[in-house]
Amino acid sequence: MIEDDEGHARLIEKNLRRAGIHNEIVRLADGASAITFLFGSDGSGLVNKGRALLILLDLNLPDMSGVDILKRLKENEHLRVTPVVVLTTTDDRSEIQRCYDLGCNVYITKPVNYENFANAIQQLGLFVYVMQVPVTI
Amino acid sequence: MTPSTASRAARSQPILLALGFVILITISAVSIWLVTRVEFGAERVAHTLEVRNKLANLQLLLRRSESSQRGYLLTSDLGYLATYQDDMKAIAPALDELASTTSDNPRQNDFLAALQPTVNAKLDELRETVRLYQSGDAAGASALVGKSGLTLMQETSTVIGRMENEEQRLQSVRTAALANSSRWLLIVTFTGSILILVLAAISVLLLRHSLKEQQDANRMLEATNQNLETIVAKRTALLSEANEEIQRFAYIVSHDLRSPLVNIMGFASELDAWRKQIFERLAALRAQVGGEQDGESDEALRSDVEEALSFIKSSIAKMDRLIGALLKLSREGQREFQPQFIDMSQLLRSTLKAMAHQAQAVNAKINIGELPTITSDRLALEQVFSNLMDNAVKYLRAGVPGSIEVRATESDGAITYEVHDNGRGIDSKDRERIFDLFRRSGIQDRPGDGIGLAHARARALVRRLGGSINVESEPDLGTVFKVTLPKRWPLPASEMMT
Repeated sequence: MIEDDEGHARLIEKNLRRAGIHNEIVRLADGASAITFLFGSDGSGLVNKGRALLILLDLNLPDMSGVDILKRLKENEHLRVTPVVVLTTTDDRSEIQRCYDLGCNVYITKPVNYENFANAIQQLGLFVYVMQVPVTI
Repeated sequence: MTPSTASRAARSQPILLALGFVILITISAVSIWLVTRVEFGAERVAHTLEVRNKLANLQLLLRRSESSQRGYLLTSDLGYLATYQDDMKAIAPALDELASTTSDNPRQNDFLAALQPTVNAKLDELRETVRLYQSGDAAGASALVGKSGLTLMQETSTVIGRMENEEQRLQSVRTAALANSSRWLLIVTFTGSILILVLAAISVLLLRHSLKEQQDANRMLEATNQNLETIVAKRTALLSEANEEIQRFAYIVSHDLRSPLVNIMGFASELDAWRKQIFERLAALRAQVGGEQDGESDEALRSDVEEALSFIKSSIAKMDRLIGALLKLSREGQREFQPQFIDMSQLLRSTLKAMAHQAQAVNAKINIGELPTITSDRLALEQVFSNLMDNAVKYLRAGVPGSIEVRATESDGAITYEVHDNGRGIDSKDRERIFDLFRRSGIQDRPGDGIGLAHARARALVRRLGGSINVESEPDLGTVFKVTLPKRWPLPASEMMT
């Protein structure tokens, strides 16, 4: 989970757990640490070879745009199959279009209304629960 | 050339012209006067010459008659007698003629008065000698010639000589006057011509100066115009840049504001959930220890917490709506307009269809007249007029059947569409306020998503379309919104500059 806002991260995690997700959740607070985690210190992405990953990505990060991370992920030969769920406050149509063009798998807007928010995350959790995540190659 | 001297040159042009005319007229008048003077002088000179001629003629006649008389007395030749008689006859008329020509001169009159008796005496003497001679008294005749003939002849010659002198004096005076007049004529004409030439030269000089000044002014004006155009272009660029900046700002702010809101809302909701658990647990604990009597204060605490949380939630919900509205506004500001030909009557009718049941619910009749067509952005106009009509329907007076009418007037490249209603109206102090963001006027008794965005949005859109929106209203009588738009949008670049 790449999310700079601590509160958002907590709320997302809570609701995912409520939906019955027990997988390890790694929270990365900024773009740089996310890049290091995903692509390793050599930047090749080899570190994650063979792991089953699902990436929750916020677009508004303090040091870079989530869109850039998405782009790098989809260009990387090891990570391009990893499902990416963009989870952000931005509901700009052109932004949504751009993310799907770049290969994002799901785009979810964080609603301010908490009921809707909790609902959306829990449903995402259920969705993730049943979906088959490919192992990175 | 400095502007002050230039304008002085321009001002002195008519003065110069007037001066030239005055000089020309003066020269003409003086010349005419001098020419008549010259003519008069020449006449006088001619007159004097005539008088002198006549004097000479008289003298000649007298001398000839005398010499013929003597010739006759000497030779008794009848030829002499005939000449004598002819000359004698001519003398009196010659004397009369002389008298008539010199009648204007008193001195000559005096001389004539002296001459007349002398001539008559001479003539008498001549006649007497001839008569004496013819009667045979040759000696008596000779004596008479010797006695008075000579003296009388000398006397006449003296008087005629005096008259001749007088005429000579007159001639010299008159000739001098004539020469004087001619000289003056020459001087005046020459001086006048030179003056006119000088004036013309000055005038030409001034004209050249003012022409140069005009050219300078034209050049300056041209430069200023060009400068103005660049200034306008620069300002326009700055303005649109500032506008874009504001749009970007609104967009970023609304996004960044939303992010903490998600947290506040989220954790408030979580708190709410925990609150239930806490009070349940509290009640269970209390049941275990048997503290029943504090149940009431627990209940009060519970409702306090509940109230606080509900305020937090409703405030967040409102804030979210405001941010959403801001976002919408900034997004609309970023949209590129697509000008197209629009049948306004048709556009408004389709807008009307979308709000038909809303109008029916409040018993409002909406009437759309025949409206002129326009070239503009369809979506923007739909939004503007649906906002205006929506508001008109929303703020009708309770208990009065609503009537909303859309009309239009066309003038000089612009069309004014007017939305009339018979609603509750807008107080004069609120008329500008309604166009502000998030501001409304009058009693707020209408539910729904109204957060005072409609008019602000309408104004923003109309302004971007190069138009203006105004409101006229009487409280409790109704409101007229006037939307003035250019008939063609965008305006051609040339019109934008003016």
